[in-house]
Amino acid sequence: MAREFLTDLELMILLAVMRLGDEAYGVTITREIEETTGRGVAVAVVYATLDRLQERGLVTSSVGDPTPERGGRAKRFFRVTARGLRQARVTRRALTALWTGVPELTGG
Amino acid sequence: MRSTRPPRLAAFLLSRVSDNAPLAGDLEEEYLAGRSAVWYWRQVGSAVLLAPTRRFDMHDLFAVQGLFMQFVMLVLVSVCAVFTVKLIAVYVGEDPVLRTVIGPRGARELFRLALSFGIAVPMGVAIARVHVQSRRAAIAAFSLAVPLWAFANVYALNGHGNLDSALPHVVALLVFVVGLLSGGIHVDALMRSRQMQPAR
Repeated sequence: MAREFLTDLELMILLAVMRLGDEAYGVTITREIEETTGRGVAVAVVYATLDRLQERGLVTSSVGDPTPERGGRAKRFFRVTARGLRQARVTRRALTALWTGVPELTGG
Repeated sequence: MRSTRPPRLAAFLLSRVSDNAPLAGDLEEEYLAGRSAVWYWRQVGSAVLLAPTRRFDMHDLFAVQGLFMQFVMLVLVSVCAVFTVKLIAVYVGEDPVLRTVIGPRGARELFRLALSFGIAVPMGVAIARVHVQSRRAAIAAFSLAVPLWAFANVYALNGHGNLDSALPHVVALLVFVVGLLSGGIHVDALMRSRQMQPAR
């Protein structure tokens, strides 16, 4: 049975893939996380997490055309599935529910 | 002047430990876009550290653990089955009350077989219920394990190839296996019919 909630990194990567749309591949996902959250993450870690998400049916991937600036290697593009979208919503609801009613966290 | 190619040794290391071509392409693209050699080495280091987990992930670990537990269960159930059948043989053969009630030896043998079958059926049901994901395979494996274990047992304890004395045990064990299969198949059929029922 699939695990119900996402870890923080899984959630960040899933959201980054959603934000990037058709341009979501290793480099752009890593940059998106670094620029948006300030958290440095290794590209290999991003791939390992995406592999896990794909195994759980939360993302799909497709290979693009090889490009010379990548040493003739192709990009692997990712897209979030409907199931991935649902899982992100479930995690958001759970986190929001936990968030509310904690006075230390209200305001800036 | 900065090289237009990533550090050779790091690139070689990456190609040896990882078969992830898009990852290698991503790192090269970032290097050419201005990332430092230190950054490249750090990325390769992460890939090297993650490579074993990619090859041997938690699913494999659970599979090995599952295989080990299956083996332990097979041995335990087989031992239980063989000794249960032997115990029944001793009980039916030597109990004075049973001798009086059931009477002739042939009837006692039949009673013994019925008892073996009666004990095996709930065991088959239990095995099938516990192994939800691989019900049929589990029942087949247990059913195969019992006679194999019994053969070794009979050979070791019953006079080194004395088939005459071993024959009643072998027959009782075969009946036991049929009982296991019957219990398991009954549960399997029951579960399948429930799965096929349309949702209300």
